[in-house]
Amino acid sequence: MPKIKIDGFQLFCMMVIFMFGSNLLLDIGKSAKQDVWIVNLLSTLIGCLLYFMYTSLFKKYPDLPMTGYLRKIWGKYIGGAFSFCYIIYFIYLASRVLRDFEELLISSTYRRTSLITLGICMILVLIYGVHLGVEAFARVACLCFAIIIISLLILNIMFVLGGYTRLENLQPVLGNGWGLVWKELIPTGITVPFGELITFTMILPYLNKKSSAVKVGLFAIIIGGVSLTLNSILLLSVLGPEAVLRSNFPALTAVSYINIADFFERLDTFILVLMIILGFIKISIFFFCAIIGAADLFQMKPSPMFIYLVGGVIFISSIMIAPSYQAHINEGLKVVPYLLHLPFLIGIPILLLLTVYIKQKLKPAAVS
Amino acid sequence: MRIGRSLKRAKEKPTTDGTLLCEVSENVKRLMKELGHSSDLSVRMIESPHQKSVKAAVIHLDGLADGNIINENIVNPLIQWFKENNQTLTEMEERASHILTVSQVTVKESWQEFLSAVLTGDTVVLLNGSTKAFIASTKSQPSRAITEPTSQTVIRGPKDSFTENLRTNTSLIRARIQNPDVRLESLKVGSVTQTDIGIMYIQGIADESIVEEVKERVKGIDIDGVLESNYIEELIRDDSATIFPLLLNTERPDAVVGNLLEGRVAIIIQGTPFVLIVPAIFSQFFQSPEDYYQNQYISSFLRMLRFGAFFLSMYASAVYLALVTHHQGLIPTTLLVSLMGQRENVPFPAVVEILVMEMAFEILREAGIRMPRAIGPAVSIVGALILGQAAVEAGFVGAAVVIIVAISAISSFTLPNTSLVNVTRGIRFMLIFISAFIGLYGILLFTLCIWLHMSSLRSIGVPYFTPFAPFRLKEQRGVFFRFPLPSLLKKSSRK
Amino acid sequence: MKMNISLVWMAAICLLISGCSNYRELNELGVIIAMGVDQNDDPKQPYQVTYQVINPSGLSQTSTSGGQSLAVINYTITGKTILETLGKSASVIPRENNTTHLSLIIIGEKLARNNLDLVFDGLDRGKYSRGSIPIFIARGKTAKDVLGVIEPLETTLGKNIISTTQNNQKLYGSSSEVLAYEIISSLLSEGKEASLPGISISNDSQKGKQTENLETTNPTTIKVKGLAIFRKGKLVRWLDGETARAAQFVTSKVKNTPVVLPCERGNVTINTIGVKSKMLTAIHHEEPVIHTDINVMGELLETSCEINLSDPRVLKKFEKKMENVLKKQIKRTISITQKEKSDIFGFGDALSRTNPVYWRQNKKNWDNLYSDAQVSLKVHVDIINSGLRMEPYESK
Repeated sequence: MPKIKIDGFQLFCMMVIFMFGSNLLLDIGKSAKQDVWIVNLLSTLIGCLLYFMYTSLFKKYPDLPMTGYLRKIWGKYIGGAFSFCYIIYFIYLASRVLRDFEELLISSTYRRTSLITLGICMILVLIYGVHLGVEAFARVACLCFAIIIISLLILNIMFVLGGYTRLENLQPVLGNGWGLVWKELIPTGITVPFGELITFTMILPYLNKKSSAVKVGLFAIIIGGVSLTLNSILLLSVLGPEAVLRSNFPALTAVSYINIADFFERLDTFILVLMIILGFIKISIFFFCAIIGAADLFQMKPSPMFIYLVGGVIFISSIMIAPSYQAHINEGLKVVPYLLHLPFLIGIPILLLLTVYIKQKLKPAAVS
Repeated sequence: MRIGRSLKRAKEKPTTDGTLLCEVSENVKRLMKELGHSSDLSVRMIESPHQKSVKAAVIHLDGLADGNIINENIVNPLIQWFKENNQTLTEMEERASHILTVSQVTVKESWQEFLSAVLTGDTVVLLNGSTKAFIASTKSQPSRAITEPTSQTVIRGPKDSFTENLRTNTSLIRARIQNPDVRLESLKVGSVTQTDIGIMYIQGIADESIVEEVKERVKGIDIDGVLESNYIEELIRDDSATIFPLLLNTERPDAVVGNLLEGRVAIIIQGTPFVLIVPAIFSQFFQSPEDYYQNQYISSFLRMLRFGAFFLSMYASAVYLALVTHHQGLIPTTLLVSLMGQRENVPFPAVVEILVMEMAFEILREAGIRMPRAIGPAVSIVGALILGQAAVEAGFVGAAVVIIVAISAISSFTLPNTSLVNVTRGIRFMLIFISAFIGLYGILLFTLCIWLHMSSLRSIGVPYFTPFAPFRLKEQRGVFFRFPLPSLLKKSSRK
Repeated sequence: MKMNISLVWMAAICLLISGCSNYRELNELGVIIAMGVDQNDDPKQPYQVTYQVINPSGLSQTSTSGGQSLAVINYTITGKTILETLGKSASVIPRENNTTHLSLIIIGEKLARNNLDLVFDGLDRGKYSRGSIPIFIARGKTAKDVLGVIEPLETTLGKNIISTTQNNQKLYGSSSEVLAYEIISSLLSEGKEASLPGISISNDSQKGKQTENLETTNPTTIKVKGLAIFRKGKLVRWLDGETARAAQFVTSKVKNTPVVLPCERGNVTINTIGVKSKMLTAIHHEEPVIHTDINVMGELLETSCEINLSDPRVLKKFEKKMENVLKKQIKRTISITQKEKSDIFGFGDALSRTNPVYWRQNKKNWDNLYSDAQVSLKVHVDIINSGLRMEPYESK
């Protein structure tokens, strides 16, 4: 593996921002109404379990990205085919997030600008970032983390100080029973964003202290999950379950309510800043995974041409992926989780782990 | 322009090698020929009254060597000595260095060393029949007096600054640290100019590997001439495609000493009052030595102010432009109404307005630097008053634009280092263009690009953007705040 | 290096190709700051919308043009939907309309009595403006008339209406600002009906629409008048004065308001300085019971009878008196709303939180349940001081 290294804190920042990613703005799981936060909390727990699974694979092959040990475990051809699928899957996810992000921009401030323009600008920055490599990116991620935390704190303080939070909006707890919660939890709640942490199996080999992977990761998941829970509680208490449900981007709607002393108003800029940073980091991570995976699969160095190529594919598919936002979201909530997320994020890793254990059982001497 | 192509030929000529000859006149002739019968070459032949074959040549370059020392301490003693007795050559060779009453006499035999001694302003005494050159140090290069710093001024603090003379500069530093661990290593860079370069650090505090790396890089420089520290800066920095200054430059001896104490390495170059300090990190460009000469709270405030001013000077005009052309919804209504009122009669688009004002400011600034001192005040009055006031009154630009441009210009001057000011100018223009196209979104994306770029930079192997990225919270405190000296002292003693 | 250069080129080319699609100069914008929606008589084009656009040259101090021009200009357009009129407005307004600064919406009473439900959908979708816009009902007038008044004190009418309401809310409390998102959520909610403040024109005359209005000390002005209560999106009744204020007591939107109590020979004025209320809906024998708990803090500011204010018992007496007065007022208000089957306080919402099971079964029938519900009221008043004097001055 390359010499470049990232440290534990950088990994932590990347993971937390990655989890915030689309969730902070889209507030996934909102169909559970008052109980969104329960969904978030539960999915954090499941996220921890999933992460255990990913890292137990990583511990077996600490120097390889997932596409690498896929081939080690399942052989060159089957593993290679699956690796290739994973690369495509990462590219697809990157373009989905890019689309989310473009739509958000269009519906907030850039209603006269085309998706294409917004997408191209973003993808160019992404290409530049990926070109500079994981190390520089990880450093920027820390900086972004600081900015995100500060702006979130400011926004939340505004919500509370301005008296926009009504805790009674959270009542009744579990008024609709567990049914809605389960429906939201499986499969969306557990796959996005916690299942998507599978991307970090591609990045973990860059970690300087391999032993800290589990600790840092769990810490990040817990912090990220708790923040997401708090965030959904806040959004709920500001907007109320009905408004959250109806709003495409609840955070944006909530922020537009803020008007303190006729001075702290029009804070949509904050959301714009958050959005761009979150989007940038999340898409970058998928992009990186695709590049790392491809470099590993085809045994080559990521050349600029190749980065351009993948960037171009991400951009074009973000435009072509769906004719409208409704179709895009529908696809994201109804089709993708079952067809792609469940097998790729949970199914294949479990099978991999089983194979490893069976192999270990069969020839214990060879493995040890 | 300075690295003349024609001079390249000098390098290709077979180098003058070998040793000195026995015959003085032969040596002198050869020297004359190599220097092209240069008119400032002065050769004084002294012959012994007793013996014709005993003679000496005193050779120096007029103007570079101290004439008084040569008269009093070299020529005069030699004449006396020759008069006094009749000696053999070997005796003379042995005693010659005792006769020359100057601070330093070295004996060299190679022609190359002889030549360079003459060229640096030393006086060389050649004895007839001997292949040794006695090099008496009589360097007295023309130099100006130590003056107040012109580009990095302070209110309270030392008022001396470096001069063009390497020796003066090293002495200014030495005078401040009287410690045996201070190391000064000399190198010559420039195949034609043979410029002296001093690398200074404190043994035991400076990181050995960084010192080695600096030496390696300076040695590796292949250039004809070095006229200013920027030649070195550009040739040893880690990344050439950046507008960020990767090496810190200063003309203040106290700043250099402060950095040496923090374990950095200073590169002092003959012929310029600007000393380079490596490795430099981004946040250092916001620190002025004066931070340590005044109250900690004020200093901390000023440091943060500088960061604020830095951002303001880059972003003010671009953000203004983005707000008025793309995001009118984000401006408070009352402000929007007054901005609209101002813009009613302005014939140009807002981008043009901003660009015209920014360019006008750049022109003024350039004019202010280049023009003769005497007419300076006139131009600033014309620039500031006429351009600003009159442009608004004539309806060329809105008043808000003048304010914004003025703020972004003025705040860039709070930065203690001019290299960073140039960065703000570059980025400001890029941001204005991007902002005109896609507003805040573009500004943010460009900011991300800058961050990515800065994170990938290194200064002599040290990540440039520390402690922001890599993010180190503990170190960041020192970036924004100036801590009281007691706590700083504790830190260094722990080290 | 090569990479950087190619990226810069690509970025430049893309930017140039895309052009400045979002770029608008300030002097190309017609900034709409207020909007009035009326019902049109023509059923084919049911909406008549008045847009109030900022006229920058009327507001700028730097403008050197001689004639005084007005700060705002009104444009009235009719159309099938509100957003259609916004599009049509381009044929009247010479500048590209921009609704991001919309800060006031006035709805004509006629339209409000007819149907309010779908007026707000365009707003709610949020692409064109923010959700925090105050909404008013033009009482007895059309929104167009109200927006037509040239306001002498404030620069723009919208600002005037909003600050008058806020002032009223702070210092008298008969009405309070209701923002678009609040009204939308109460229109959507099954457990809460909408209520909106009304505005009207005082000292109405033709002059009010002309600059002459600025040249008199007794001009035509806007006044905030009453609280409109809705039932299923239709305006059903106006509450005025103390009844309206009582409604604000229940929702604790009022803060400072004078309450006048009678004493032997005159009146005592007690100013509230803090109101806290709690709403609760309990179920007793399958019937909802509406319960409100109001805590009021007040100070005695004025009295015209001879009372010894240094005696705490006297204050206690007034506290009791005030409790009774408030109770009576609030009861009356609640019973009016019960009669109109309009739960403007959100007792239904309160019930849905505490008793979701009962609520799910009965929410369709809530307006009937509400109108029959028992009311239990608890008012507690604390008079904490009596101004700077203990005793009133007496004419001897």
